[in-house]
Amino acid sequence: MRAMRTPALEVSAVSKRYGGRAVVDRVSFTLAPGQVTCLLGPSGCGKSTLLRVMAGLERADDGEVRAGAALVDGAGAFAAPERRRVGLVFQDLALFPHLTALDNVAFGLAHLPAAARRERAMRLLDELRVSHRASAWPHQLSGGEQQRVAIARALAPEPAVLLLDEPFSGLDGGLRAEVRESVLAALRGTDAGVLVVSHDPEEAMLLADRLLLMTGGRIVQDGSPEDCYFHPATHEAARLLGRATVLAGTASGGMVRCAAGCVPAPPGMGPAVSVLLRPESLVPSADGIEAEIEDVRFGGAWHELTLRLGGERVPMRCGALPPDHGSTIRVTLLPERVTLLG
Amino acid sequence: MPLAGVVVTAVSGPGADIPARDLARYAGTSAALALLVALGTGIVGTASAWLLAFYRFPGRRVFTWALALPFAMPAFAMAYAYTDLFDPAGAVRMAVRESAGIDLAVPMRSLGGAAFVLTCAFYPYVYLAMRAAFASQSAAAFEAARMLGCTPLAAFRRAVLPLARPALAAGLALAIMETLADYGAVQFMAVQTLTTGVVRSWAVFGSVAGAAQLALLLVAAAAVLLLAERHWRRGAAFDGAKVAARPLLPRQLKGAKAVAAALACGLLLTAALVLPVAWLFSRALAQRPDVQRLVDAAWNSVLVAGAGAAVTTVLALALALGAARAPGAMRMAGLGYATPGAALAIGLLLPAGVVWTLAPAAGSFWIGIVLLLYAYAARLMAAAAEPIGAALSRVTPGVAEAARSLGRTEVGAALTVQVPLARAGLVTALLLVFVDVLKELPATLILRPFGFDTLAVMASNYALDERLGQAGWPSLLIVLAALGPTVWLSRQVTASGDAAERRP
Repeated sequence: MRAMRTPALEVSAVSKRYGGRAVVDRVSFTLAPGQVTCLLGPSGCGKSTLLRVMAGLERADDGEVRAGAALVDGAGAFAAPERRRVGLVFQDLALFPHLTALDNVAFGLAHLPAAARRERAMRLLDELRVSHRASAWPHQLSGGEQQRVAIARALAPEPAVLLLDEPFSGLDGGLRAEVRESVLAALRGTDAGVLVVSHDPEEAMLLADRLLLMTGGRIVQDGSPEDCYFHPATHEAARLLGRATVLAGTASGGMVRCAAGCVPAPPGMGPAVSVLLRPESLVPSADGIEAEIEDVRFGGAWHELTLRLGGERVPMRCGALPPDHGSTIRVTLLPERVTLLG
Repeated sequence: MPLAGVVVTAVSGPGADIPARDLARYAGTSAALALLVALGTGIVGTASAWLLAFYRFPGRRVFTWALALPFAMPAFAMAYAYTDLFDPAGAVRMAVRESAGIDLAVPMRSLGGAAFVLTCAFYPYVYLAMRAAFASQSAAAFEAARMLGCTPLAAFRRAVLPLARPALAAGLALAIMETLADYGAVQFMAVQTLTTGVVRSWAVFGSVAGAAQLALLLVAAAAVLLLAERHWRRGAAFDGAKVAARPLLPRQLKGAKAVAAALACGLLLTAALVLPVAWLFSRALAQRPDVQRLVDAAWNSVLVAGAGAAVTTVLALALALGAARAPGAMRMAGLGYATPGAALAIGLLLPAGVVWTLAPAAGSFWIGIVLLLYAYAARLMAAAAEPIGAALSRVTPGVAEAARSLGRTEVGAALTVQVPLARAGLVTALLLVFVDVLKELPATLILRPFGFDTLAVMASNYALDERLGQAGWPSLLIVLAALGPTVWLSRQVTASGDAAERRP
């Protein structure tokens, strides 16, 4: 149903070049209202530049950006950032150091009378659970509090699109998860199209309804977190989301055979095939292939095994060690968790 | 010590009989002048820094450092040029009268004229401070404000300017202090300020006590100014807030706007440097300079400026290194900077008198030089300690501690680790003091050994005799000597912004 509505923001074939080098290379995607999309890519892949083009802080060299139905960049048109209804949470937060937390949040509400301004700013601080710090100066706030104030400030003018540049990168451990939860709740309470830029795959998958994978200035995959994780479109995309093992396989008679077992092959593939495995692609199974266990690591809720399969080292993650665990284990491949690349 | 000298002399001295009416008149003029110059430098300095930091237009790269060059121009030289240009018999009025038939009456010898000249001379203080502030902080604040619905102008007014307030306060304070301290320009333009009062009552009426009373007023004014500046900056605890420096990407101006921006900067540079220098030069060319005296004076100037710079920088380094332990010392140094040279000199006369009576006649020349250097150091200590302190603060304490843990003593660690790392700050301090001493007039005038002329003293003497062409030569030599260091200083301050810009 969401997909039927006008996108909150639409980027079509946008490029941005610096000194002849395309930092953003013909990128296209849409942001749906009420959806959280995560843009994941290594540092220097062009994420931040793309974000700045969407915000209107940079002008695209090619392509178009539409906010709602309006063309805001492209074909000679350019709408200044303040006219786009696009909010941005900067990586360094950029809180105004000369204003209190409350005044920071109220900054974008200049069109409201003072009382309404204050009331709305207070409500947002409350939603993000920092209202008790309303009169504090930015430098007196902890990292997590600064983060929440910055997000409240960006939400205050009710943007149609909210962009967050590595919003949790300054936080660590438990605090990070806690801030993420409260921020996610606040974001879901709005109807804005939300784009979160991140280089942390785990966080991206936890946050996102939808993932955009970016390398070298291009979007290499656009899909659900599960899909991107188990069915990466390219080797690069696979590596972005975590550990991946690539095994050499051969296709014949509708099946692909590799060191870890067999999976059905789509027609027209082969004969040489790359088989991409995640640690979760193998499961213990009595009628599987026998593998030698080289190493066992305890990871809390799971065990991480290193298996030796036909001369290859393959990681495997399983919830509990099978009762018959010794120096060998029988495993089988889950076809739905394997990607074949021609 | 000079401050104590001022107080003791003012209270104890006989015949201290300056009518209260005169005191009030001097003080009133000084205050009015300071206010006008603050207004002028504040507007001109902020506007030019804003144009150059936020917009791209033809000539921007050159203007960025060139607009700081009037710092090399002594205020008195500027005053000579403008007073002469707009003299009833001067070039501008003659030309306008002949071509247009109108008598363009611009009374340069007035409060307004002096304010104009001093604004031209002192706006670089505000310009440099604002330029640095804009380069370091504004990109983040400016963009954040834009994202929250502000037009560029609103973003500047609501976010960038409030953030730059500490820098504005610092720049304005410097401009006002220099205004209060100025002797050569106001004296020539017949504006009676406290500083001219100090020199007059000492030189003309021979009343050290009277001079000290006026000087006391000046010191009080300086102290008030220093407190006001501190207060204005106190809200600036936000200096330490976590705002990463992000390169500010200036917007390209096109067409008429670009021309207007370039024209505005060009006009400012012309008014504050090109026109007065060109005029002095053309007047000087008509004269045959007294080469021997000029060479002697230039030698003396470079000598005291160099020695003053070295002494002051070494003391300032010690001060900056010890600042963490004794913050009070830093504050005293600040008062020294705020104190006009004339007041300092008067304060030093009392202890000097004691020394002179004790010393044999042959030593008096060197005692004078030492006193002079002492006055320079006392006055310019804070100016030198500031860049050194800033450079040292960028050296993380861990580095010095690492040196200590590797077996260096505290002094050893400072010398082998901190000082080399703060080299740029040291050079800045050295050049700053060098240029300031070259331009210094009142303290030199009062304290110099008999017959010891510097370029500034020589220019002032010629100007007093209304021999402007002759005064042009030493003035131009000062500009020449100060120009190189000023270019270096200016590029140093503006380099941070430019370097960031070259990155994609």
